[in-house]
Amino acid sequence: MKAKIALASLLLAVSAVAGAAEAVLKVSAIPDEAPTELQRKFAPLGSYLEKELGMKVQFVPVTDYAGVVTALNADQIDMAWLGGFTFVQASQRGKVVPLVQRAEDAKFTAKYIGSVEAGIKTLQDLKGKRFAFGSASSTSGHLMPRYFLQKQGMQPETFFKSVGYSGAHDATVAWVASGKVEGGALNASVWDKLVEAGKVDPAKVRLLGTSPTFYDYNWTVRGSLDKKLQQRIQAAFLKLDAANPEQKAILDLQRASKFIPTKAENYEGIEAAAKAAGLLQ
Amino acid sequence: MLTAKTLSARDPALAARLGWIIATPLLLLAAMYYTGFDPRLLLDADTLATLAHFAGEFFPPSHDPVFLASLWHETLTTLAVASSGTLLAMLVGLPAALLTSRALDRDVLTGEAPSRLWHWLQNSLRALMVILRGVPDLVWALLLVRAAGLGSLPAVLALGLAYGGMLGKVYAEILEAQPRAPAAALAGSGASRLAIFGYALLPQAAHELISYSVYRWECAIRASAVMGFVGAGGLGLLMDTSIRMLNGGEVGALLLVFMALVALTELISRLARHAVESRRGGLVLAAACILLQLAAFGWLGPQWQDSPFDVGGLLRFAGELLHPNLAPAFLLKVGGGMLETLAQSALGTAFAFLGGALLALPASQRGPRWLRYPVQLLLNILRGTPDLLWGAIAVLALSLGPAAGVLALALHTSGVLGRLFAHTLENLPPEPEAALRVSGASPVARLAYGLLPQALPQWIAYTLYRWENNIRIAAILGLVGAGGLGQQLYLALSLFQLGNAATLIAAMLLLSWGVEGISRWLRQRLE
Amino acid sequence: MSLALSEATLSLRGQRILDGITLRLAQGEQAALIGPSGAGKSSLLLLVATQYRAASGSVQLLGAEPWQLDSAALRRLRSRIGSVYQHAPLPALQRVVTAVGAGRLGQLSTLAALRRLLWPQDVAGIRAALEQVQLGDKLWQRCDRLSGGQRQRVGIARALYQQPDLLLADEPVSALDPRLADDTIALLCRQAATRNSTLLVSLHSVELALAHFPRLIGLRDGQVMFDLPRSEVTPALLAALYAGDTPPEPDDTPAAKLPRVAPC
Repeated sequence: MKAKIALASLLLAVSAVAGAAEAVLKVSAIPDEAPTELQRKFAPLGSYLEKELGMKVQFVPVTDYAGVVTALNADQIDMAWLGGFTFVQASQRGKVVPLVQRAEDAKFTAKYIGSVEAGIKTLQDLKGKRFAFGSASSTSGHLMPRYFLQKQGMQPETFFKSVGYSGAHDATVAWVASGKVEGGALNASVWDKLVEAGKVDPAKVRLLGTSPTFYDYNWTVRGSLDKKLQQRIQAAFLKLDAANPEQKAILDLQRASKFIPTKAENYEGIEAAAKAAGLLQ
Repeated sequence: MLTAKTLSARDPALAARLGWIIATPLLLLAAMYYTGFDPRLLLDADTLATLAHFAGEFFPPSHDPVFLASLWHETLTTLAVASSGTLLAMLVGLPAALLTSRALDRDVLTGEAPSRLWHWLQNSLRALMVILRGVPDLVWALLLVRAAGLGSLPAVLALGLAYGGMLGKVYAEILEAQPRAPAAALAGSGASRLAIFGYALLPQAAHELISYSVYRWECAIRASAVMGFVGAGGLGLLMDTSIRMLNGGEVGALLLVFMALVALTELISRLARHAVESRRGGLVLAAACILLQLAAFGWLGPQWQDSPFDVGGLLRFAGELLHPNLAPAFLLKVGGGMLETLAQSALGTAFAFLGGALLALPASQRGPRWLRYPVQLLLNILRGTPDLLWGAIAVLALSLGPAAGVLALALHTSGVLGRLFAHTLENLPPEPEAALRVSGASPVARLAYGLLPQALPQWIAYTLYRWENNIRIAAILGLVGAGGLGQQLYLALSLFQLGNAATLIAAMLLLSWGVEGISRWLRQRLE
Repeated sequence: MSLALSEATLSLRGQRILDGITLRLAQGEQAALIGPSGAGKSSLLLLVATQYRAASGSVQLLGAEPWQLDSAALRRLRSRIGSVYQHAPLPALQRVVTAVGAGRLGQLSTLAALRRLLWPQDVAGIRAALEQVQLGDKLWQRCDRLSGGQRQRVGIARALYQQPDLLLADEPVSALDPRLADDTIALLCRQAATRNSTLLVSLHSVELALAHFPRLIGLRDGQVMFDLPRSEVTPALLAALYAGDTPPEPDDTPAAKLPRVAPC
């Protein structure tokens, strides 16, 4: 009996690989914020896409950056919201097509923050202290801040007492606020959002500085996705107009003024930085 | 004559004893220095305040309906993953045991000339199983998640592989421990391997085989509850997020569920092992198992259909893993990580031995009742909280780094050992202590001369076994920032640096074998 | 009077084991306790050893009522009473030197006791006790490496090393061959006489009892059936004492076993 069940499960798994359904567009996103926040952000965009594309759109929550890359390369999801670094990883490991990015993503920045209680006022104050990046696979939470720190002669592993990975941008703020680490780096857009929402206690966390600009996030589809569908998805994003109140709500949640077309070449700088920082071979 | 007498008046074990008495603290001190673990930190006001603050946020446990819904969903997934994973492990382990157990070898049973080829095949299979169980189940899950995508299927496969290797070995040993005569008689009449197993060994060994499998299921529940830390579904998924976000209320709710789950499975496991003893009970157990497996499969099947398993990706990934990074600079870094992991596991286990020994006396039936129940509760909390979660909490208290890993191991293992130690005490023959009492020995002397000499060897054996387990855990504690090889492995896999990952996994295997060897040697010295 | 029981009764788990025992032994006196298995010989010795407390009646040991004493005085009294057990209560992995040395724990402070554990003291005295039972060469041996008979003799060495004023022995030679058994009982009697200690020994072998003890106490169903000088114990009396007796199967205490399975 048990053997039969096992056999059945094996068959099911194999058949599932063979017949991935096309009728549903499976979308995911790198978990750069708390999973609940990601779902909240995606809900109106999802229903907009459903209406525009005339097909069901399903959000697949994923808790791990590299997991999104693997899933996209494995055709387990059709489209993903990737960071610059995860996009480079995905294109290195398989065929993926970047469709659109936010106008803001062309000159993205990272923020360095420090603990008020520990008396951190500048980046130099963090020498010999504990420092947190976001996820190891994050562009604005790890790769670029690391790259710029290194360019300023601060090799994180030796400059700081210890280096940790909080896993997400908002977690980095929580870590600094709790005193778990004295400093950290995160995505500028998430920082602004947290500040606007009053979720940063200025008595605990202080902004130390902003990084130079770089290309970041985009919406990318798997290379094997139907070309026509790719074009329709791109068109739907580009059509979003801030003048339309309903669509402005969607754009606001995405923290975008508008979406613009993007291409793989935009991320060559990220690739070079990743190689320089030793994060890409 | 005189010289012979003076010579033998000297304690012949003195040098060895002195060696142990001096070497053990020295080694532990070296480990303390290397991991930066200072026991005084535990009494530091700041540390305690951080812990108390975080623990205070556990209350009230979160009761947000959305959270509770996913809590329920992931609890079921955890149960289902553990059950399917154990089944898969049995399907891997049983054939492996049938093929490799010496109890079924014709040359052993009938004295025929052994077949070279067959022995070579057996040894290769044994080596494969050593690798399967040498890699921690969580690392298997991490690899499978990276290779073939997220979800509960990698968790089931990880359990199947790691526990399959373990069951294969233990099943084979159980068969080898049975009386040989019936099997030899069958082998003499020309019966096949399978027939010898079915007619001679299974009837003798069935109870032990089943109760060990049930026990593994109990272990699988704990393991599957933390698989989510690497993206493989179940309660760990929620725990990972809640801890990263420092959401105390959610962690509190998760802890409650986790402890309830551990208590429930221990109860079921105990009932099941009793049921094996009776004929009717065996049938009930079999029916319950089939129902459980069907339910598990019914729950997981749709999930697997949603996110199919990428076989091609798995093969490509495996191919990339075959090229370990052997650059000297990297090997040096890995060597440092190995030493750190070894020091963490040894130190954590040693502190747990002390903690367990201190808590065992009041927790056993010897303790006064008013003290016994609180101490037992403390032991259950220590052991019921998964080691990875202790790691995350310790990181809060002691900051990132290997010291937090030591603390996590010490806390969790104190709970495990304290319970086992108390159990040992309750089962010791009372006569030596009673005899000392009626010859006027003081209570402490009775303990030192009557009780501990009986209990200590068993305590040490348990501790050494636990150390073998802890070296694997120390190797993955880095996932939550608590030092050791785990953080390097997690980074390597996140950055798709598979050559580095391969070297790190080989390092973990080496460590795990090394500690198993040391532990076996020490245990033999005890006997 | 070294030992005085008067109408002593003992109940264990609701069962009456000893019933109205009256027994007196003068200081330095030597007596053998005989009777069928289950008669209560071991229980009587454990009652005298203060392991059990009498349900009624009085027990006087070395001139004191043990259960009236405070704990320090009780410890002092107990340190003057030595016991030899059928199965020597030796922890399997303890060494002989420690096990025998433990005989004097009652005379040591706790601190001294702990020091001895790390650093054996009075090795010469311990060896002397062992040499009396011909086990001088086993001084540094571990107890689980000894045969059943050797363990029993180590138990005797421990009691001798204690130098008690009242020596109790429960089937002390059950695991020894007849010649060694005879020698060992002779040794117990000789040692007790040298120190003028009182000696009470339960024996399954009537021959040994008759050969070595001037006084025999017959116990049956928890009661004293006879208490007579050796010359007055007749074959008919012995036949009545042992009527319907089936000797128990010999057993041996198993060695300590280490756990085989790692906990998860």
